[in-house]
Amino acid sequence: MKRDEDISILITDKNFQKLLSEWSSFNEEKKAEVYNEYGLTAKDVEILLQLWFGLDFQSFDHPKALIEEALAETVWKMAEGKNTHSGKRPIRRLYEQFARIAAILIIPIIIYTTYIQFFKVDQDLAEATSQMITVSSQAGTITNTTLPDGSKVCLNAGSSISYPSHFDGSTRNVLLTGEAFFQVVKNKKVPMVVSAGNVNLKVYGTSFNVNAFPSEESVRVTLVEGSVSLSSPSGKIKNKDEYFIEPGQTVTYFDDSKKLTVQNEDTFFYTAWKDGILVFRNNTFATVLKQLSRKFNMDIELKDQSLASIPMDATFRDENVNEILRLLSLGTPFRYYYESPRKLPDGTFAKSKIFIVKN
Amino acid sequence: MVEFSEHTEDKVLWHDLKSGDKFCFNQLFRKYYPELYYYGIKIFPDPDFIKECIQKVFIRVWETRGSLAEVDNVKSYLIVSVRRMILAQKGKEKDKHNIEIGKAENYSFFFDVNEFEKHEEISDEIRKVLLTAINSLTKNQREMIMLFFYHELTYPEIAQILEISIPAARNLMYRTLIHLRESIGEKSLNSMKNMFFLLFSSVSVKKIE
Repeated sequence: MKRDEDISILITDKNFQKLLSEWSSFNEEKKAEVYNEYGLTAKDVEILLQLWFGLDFQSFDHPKALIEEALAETVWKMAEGKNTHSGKRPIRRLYEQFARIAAILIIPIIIYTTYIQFFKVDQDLAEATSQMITVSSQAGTITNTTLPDGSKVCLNAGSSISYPSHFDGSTRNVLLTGEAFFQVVKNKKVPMVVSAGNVNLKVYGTSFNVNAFPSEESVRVTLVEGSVSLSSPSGKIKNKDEYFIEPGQTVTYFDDSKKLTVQNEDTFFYTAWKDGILVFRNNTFATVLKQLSRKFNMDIELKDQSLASIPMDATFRDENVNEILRLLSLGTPFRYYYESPRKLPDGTFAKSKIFIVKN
Repeated sequence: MVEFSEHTEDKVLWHDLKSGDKFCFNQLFRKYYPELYYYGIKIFPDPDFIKECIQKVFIRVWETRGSLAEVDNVKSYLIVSVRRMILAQKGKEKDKHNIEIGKAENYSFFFDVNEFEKHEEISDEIRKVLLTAINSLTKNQREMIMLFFYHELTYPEIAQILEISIPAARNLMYRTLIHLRESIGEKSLNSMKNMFFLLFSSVSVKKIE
């Protein structure tokens, strides 16, 4: 028979606590095991159960609106602290700042309260029946889609993105083939992971471009704003498990050679496509034609390979393929002509084909 | 498993807060404000005062974020800070409050029966007995019960908060639990007899059916 102290102190033992919590589900055999292991009688356990369940505090629910109010006040006080030191801003301005914070916070609170009142049931259902959704952008088009968490994705032509119809609480996983521009809703608790090519991008927020076409050897990520890290299942990148990309940087990564190059050029060059703008900066003619093919869903073939590496600088917004080729031919010696569209066995027509030849 | 990720999340939030991440500051505030408020109110039942103290703690955390150390348990750190802030502020503002400082200690860490969950394993009668026993403990014992069973802190953390040694904290817990166990021990025996009676009654009813 153990001393009183030993028995009571079992309440503080995590393993024993677990046993007590599950006690009602135990059969006589299991209970006997516990009696033996701890040297207790049934009466001892009876009392310990009462002690354990008697000390079960209710969770204290603090109204969210009050928490937000306290937070807003805190932020305001911090701002006030800074301002009174500089002594430049009038009191009215501070009040306006506070009012702004309170206003911005109140709206989410209203939305949240309404949401949980009216939509919680549906959310539970959605969580239970999550499916994979794939959105593809047809050749020659740009498609916009919104992910279940509100993040926006702009898909370039010939690209596709797959994601679950509902993100579970622990991750936001997305699979990308091709090119997309992301505007990710910030959620530090649940980072978004974009799998593209052979790499995984962990997103801490917010805006970035990923270029990962299967036909290319590399994955290219341009970070406009926020924080994104690159990692490869096949090993470390530059000796790091997660290679962090700085805003404004474009990182090109070759998974087979593990080569990584960084450019700090303007991000416009890499993200202009999402607004329908084609930008060429010292790109070879071959690359230009490849992009034109993709954008206009055509088959553009360069018959004279001697023209392939001619560098080009140009920006096109609304011009169609004819206008673009015409403009390009002003600075570069080439001619182009169409092949008549071929009718395929199933009755559809093949893509328009353009041949580029030296002039 | 849940504990591990809670701990890790706090470490990330704390680390990022130190780097000046306002979002993490906000998240940490939202996460711990309720617990800190509940704890503070138990020390000194003045809602505005407690709110101010918690805010002052967070403001100071933000203002000194550059020189903050990595902490093992963020929650424990915050509780210690809030406790110290309350004591410090009480010293400064004693004239402004209705409850005098001397008497304030008498109001600390008393509990109401509604602060505890109902469970089938314990009858209302015994819950009341237990509550009376808890409220008749010393102030440190009552605070310890809350820190251990509500805030789920460890002995070293509790020792730091109560400003006693770790062995003293363990000892205090032993004595507290013995006292509580004894108080419900007798009552429990009686109620068990009642339970048996009820059991037999229901069995006979079933047989008739």
